[in-house]
Amino acid sequence: MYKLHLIFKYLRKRRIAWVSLLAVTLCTAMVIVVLSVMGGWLRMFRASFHGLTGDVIVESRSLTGFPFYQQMLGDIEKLPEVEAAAPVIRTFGLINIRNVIRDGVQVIGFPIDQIVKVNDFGASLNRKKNHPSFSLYDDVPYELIPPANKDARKRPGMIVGAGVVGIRKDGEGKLEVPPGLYEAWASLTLLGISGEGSGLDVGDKEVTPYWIVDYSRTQVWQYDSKTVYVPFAQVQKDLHMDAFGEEPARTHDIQIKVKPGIDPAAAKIKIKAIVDRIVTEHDISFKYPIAVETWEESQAMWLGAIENEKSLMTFLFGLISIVAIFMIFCIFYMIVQEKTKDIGIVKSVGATNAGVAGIFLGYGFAIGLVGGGMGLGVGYLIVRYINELHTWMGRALGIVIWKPEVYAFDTIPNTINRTEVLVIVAVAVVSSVVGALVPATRAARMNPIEALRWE
Amino acid sequence: MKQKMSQLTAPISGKTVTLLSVAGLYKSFRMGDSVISVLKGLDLTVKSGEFIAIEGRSGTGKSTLLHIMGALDVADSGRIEYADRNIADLSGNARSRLRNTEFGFVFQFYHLLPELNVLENVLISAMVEHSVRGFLSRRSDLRERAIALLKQFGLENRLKHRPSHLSGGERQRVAIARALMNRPKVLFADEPTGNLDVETGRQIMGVLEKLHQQQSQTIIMVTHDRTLARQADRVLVLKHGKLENAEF
Repeated sequence: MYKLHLIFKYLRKRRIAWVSLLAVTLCTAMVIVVLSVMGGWLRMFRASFHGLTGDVIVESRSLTGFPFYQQMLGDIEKLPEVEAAAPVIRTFGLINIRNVIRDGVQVIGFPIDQIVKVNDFGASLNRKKNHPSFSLYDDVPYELIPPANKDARKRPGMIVGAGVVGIRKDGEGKLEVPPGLYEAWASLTLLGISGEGSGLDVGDKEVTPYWIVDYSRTQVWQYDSKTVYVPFAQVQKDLHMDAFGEEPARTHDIQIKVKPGIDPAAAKIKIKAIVDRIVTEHDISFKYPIAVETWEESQAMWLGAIENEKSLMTFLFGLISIVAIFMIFCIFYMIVQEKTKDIGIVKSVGATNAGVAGIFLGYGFAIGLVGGGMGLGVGYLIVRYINELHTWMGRALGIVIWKPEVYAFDTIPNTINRTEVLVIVAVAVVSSVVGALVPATRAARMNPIEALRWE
Repeated sequence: MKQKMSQLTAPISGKTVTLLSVAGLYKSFRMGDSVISVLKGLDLTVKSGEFIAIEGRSGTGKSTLLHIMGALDVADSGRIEYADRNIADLSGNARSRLRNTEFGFVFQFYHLLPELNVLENVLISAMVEHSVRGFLSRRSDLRERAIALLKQFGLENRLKHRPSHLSGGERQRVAIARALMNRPKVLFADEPTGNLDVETGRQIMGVLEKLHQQQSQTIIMVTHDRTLARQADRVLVLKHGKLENAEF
């Protein structure tokens, strides 16, 4: 009973305990914030990049692409493991939007009705989120928009990355959509890619007019700032990758979604067998190098870099924990020193060595528990409102820490992983007890007479 | 010397039960390169209900003797028998138990816990004795006893005060109440008036005398004040590491 009573009293009355409490609180909050943001970043990175691709990708190793993709698609879609598949063309082009925005962009072409079955592209859209398509709007008088053209409605639709048309968050964190976006025309200049020789045909450019029908906000900065999405058939035609004479139509990728519960790596083996068979059948292996990879293999370089960052972070947190333990050790050493006479007193009234050690270990435990709990509260609030806090810091103090071009996302991850948080609080408690261990042992071993005489 | 020894162990009329006996007690301290022997084969028998005063000059080992008898310190050799057990042979936990339930201590410098109030300081002995459950189940009884003790010593209005807000005499009375909380068989008092003015010292002695006379409390008190020592049943002098009967 005396242990609990003294722990409670020391916790309430000793200001030095408040310092250790503050130290544990700050350490816990800091680790929760950093781990939540960095861990969240890694999770967002994986989720977003996975969301923008299929589970398995049949990928061309050159700009030329590869032919017989329809045959591959047909056979792949017949596999019981496969849910959906879609061809994708990736290239670069020059965009001109209303003679106001002229920029170099990445151009991605896909059959949108197929791609939304393969990845999460549909969820990134604004107006067409529920019915993703490149189709024009009935209520927009395209024919009357200058330069007026009676064939205006025949132009294809284009979806632009939010950043391409300058959609960014304002000071309040809300998206600012430029007026007239859904009545804007855009012309896209592409260079044809020959199926033979060098690939790019610089003398054969195609300028295609489009109407902007929506914007996409994947939250991946690289995509949102420099990418436009167009119909597969259009871009295939503009790049001269469509069937021409003896030349079969080509694509750059086939993105495949596997059924829930299916391991992409296992599905990949079957898909690769189909691809290899068709490549061999048409004898195109040398001319059109193709790789079949899971999405993780395809993004291995990025994921590896982030995994390394995570390892570095774990190492740094290890150091922080050691510093925290050492700090608690120092504070507890001081407390034991200061409470030497009390140790003598409680021993004189019958406290055992283990009991005295229990007071200080319990004290450390209480500080870890209360500090960890407070740190959890502070950390949660910071993480929960981190984007608002960051926006305020930028506005009021001119400090911008999170740069989308560096971290790939325009919002700071603000989700807390329960397991991680439990581990952090547990580490805070254990660190506090470990920090108190040596001083507690010292207190327990004190001779009561020497302790009573201590000045 | 033999005669003196027989006097030291002689029965006191009406009090024949031996409560504590010390035989051949040796204790020395190392001070740098030299060894100082303070107790040199000391013997003592304490009867139940006795009030013994041990006097002697500073540094003769009075407090050391008290601490060894009270299981707070250990001797180099010798026997300290209490309830048919040699305290010197007991484990650390058994000695702690003894200090908690059988012995009570009053020190010169009060030694109260500064974070606890008067009532909590008295209850601390009971808190050490009982587990959380045991203490909570007997909380009201224990609290009642602590308050009764404090009332007995005129401290009923000081229950919630911290030690720093009390006078020296009040602090010492709180210390006595704490020592008596678990109904000890032996009360060890180490210079209980040493830090008090003459008048307050007299009051504290009055408290101890009253305890002895009204409740037959066994008290072993160490003092260097001969006047105070005379109030005990028996006065012994610690000289050259051994006890002698005082000559007045």
